[in-house]
Amino acid sequence: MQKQITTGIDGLDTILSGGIPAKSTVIIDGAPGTGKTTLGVQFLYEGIMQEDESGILITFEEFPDQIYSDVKSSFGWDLRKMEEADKLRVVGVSPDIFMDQMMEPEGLMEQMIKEIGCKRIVIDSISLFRYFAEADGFDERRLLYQLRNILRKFGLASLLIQERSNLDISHVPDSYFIVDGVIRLSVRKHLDVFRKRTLEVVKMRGTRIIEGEHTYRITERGLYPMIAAQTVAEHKKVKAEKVSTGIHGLDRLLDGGVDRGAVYMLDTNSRANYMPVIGSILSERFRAGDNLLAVLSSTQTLDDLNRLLYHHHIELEEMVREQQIHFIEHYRRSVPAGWENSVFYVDQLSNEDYNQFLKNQCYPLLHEGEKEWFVYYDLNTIITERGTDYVLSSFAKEAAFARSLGMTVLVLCNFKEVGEQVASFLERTTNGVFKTWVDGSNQYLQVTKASNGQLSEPYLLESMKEHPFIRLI
Amino acid sequence: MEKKEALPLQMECTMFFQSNPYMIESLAGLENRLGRRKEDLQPVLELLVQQGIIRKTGKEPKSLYRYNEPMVITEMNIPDTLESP
Repeated sequence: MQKQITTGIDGLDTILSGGIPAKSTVIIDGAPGTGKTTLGVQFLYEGIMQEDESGILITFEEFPDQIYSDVKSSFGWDLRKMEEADKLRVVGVSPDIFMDQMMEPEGLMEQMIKEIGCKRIVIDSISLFRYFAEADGFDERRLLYQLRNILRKFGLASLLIQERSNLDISHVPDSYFIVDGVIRLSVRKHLDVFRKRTLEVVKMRGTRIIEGEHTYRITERGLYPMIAAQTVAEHKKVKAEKVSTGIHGLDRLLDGGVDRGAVYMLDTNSRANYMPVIGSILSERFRAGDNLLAVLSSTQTLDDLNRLLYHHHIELEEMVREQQIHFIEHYRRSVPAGWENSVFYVDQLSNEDYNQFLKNQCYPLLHEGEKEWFVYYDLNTIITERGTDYVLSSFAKEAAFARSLGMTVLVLCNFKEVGEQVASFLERTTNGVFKTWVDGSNQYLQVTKASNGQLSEPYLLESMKEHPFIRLI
Repeated sequence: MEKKEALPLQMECTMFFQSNPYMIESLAGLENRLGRRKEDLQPVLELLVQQGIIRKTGKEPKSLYRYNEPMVITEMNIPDTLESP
């Protein structure tokens, strides 16, 4: 990776994996009022304060004294003091003179760059080149190409501010093709009466970026972008023990795995094959020595589960023999000989009796022994067999009970099938949610809720020949 | 323009360059920025060049004007009203 220049702007450096590549030319594109000039000045100010790198701000329209006064009153940045220390120049100049002096050997701009040992430059704004080019019969694209080459020759990290005149977001200006990077600032409607400012890195050569529209605020310290897909992390006094899912990419997103003693939901749609995810998580639990309580579903029999785990190199029969696994069965289906004691048939039980069964037979079982328990069940089966009202009234209690016993729970559910209201309730009750779905010809997986507050982008799921048989791309 | 009439414009130009010490402009650019006619500005700018307040670089018609920053800058606070001794 190339050397990077930190922008000095909290959040933006994280989005850019450290900053913009050295000597690169980046367009800051945005509509009026999005804070483009503020971002540009902040880049220079923080460059001086944090990295001791001198900078030049070129302003074509705004008077320098207006900028001195605006940023001093809004953010307390004293640019005049920096100029007196030969760390900064705020140059008011017309676009044609600027280009002329940039091209002139030992011109005024070159002299100034050398005089202060300039490392960063901000040009506000290149949109004015259009009028200058039109008047003088120049090609705007060629002009910008020349400018980029001159800036590169001087080894400057450059931000070129560009006014967005075309509000159609799919429109790609020519300038985007010439530069090394594009950061787009936007303002959009939020909750009807508010406006939300977002920052998106549309293009950046030579560095990895965090994709997405990142909300930002203009604070007393300048622009402050928040990383997209990040919610407030749960505050825990003791760091939770992590339980590996067996899927490397998923563990990485969850800082090592799911939290022990927490309830997780896997939201699937009917076309998605979620079985490799389940197989990997359950087999990983057995390998770690956990016990398992599984609520069988209408579509998943004991045989199916047996085959699934066998595929993941787990002999279920041995687990049954060791009484490491118990099943709750809502359907009167046959079980292999010798497995009878591991299965609780609840098909004849009313909801009240089922509750009594959980309380008197199931929960005491989970208290026994030294081993950790992992619970897996299909919530859609409970909804089908016991009704939505039952789930709404009992799920929160069951989840709280499981957490109190330190059990880790994985619940399978199709949010679309249960409806928006129930899904929202379930999402609130759980500690984490993974979602897997098929779109077109690809299957995706995304973490949409997690205790570390980190939501993921949608990852493609790719099949593999060996355990865990899937990986995140 | 009479010499007496040029004094406010001379002050205006001086203040403009003093407040924007790294402004680099041509006569046409200053006409736009200051909102004053070229023919009024030119003699005033020449006078400021002679006085060493601003510098002129390049040859006509591409001459550029910029502030000649003094080596020592003294900041003074001038009160609105004079205090009685």
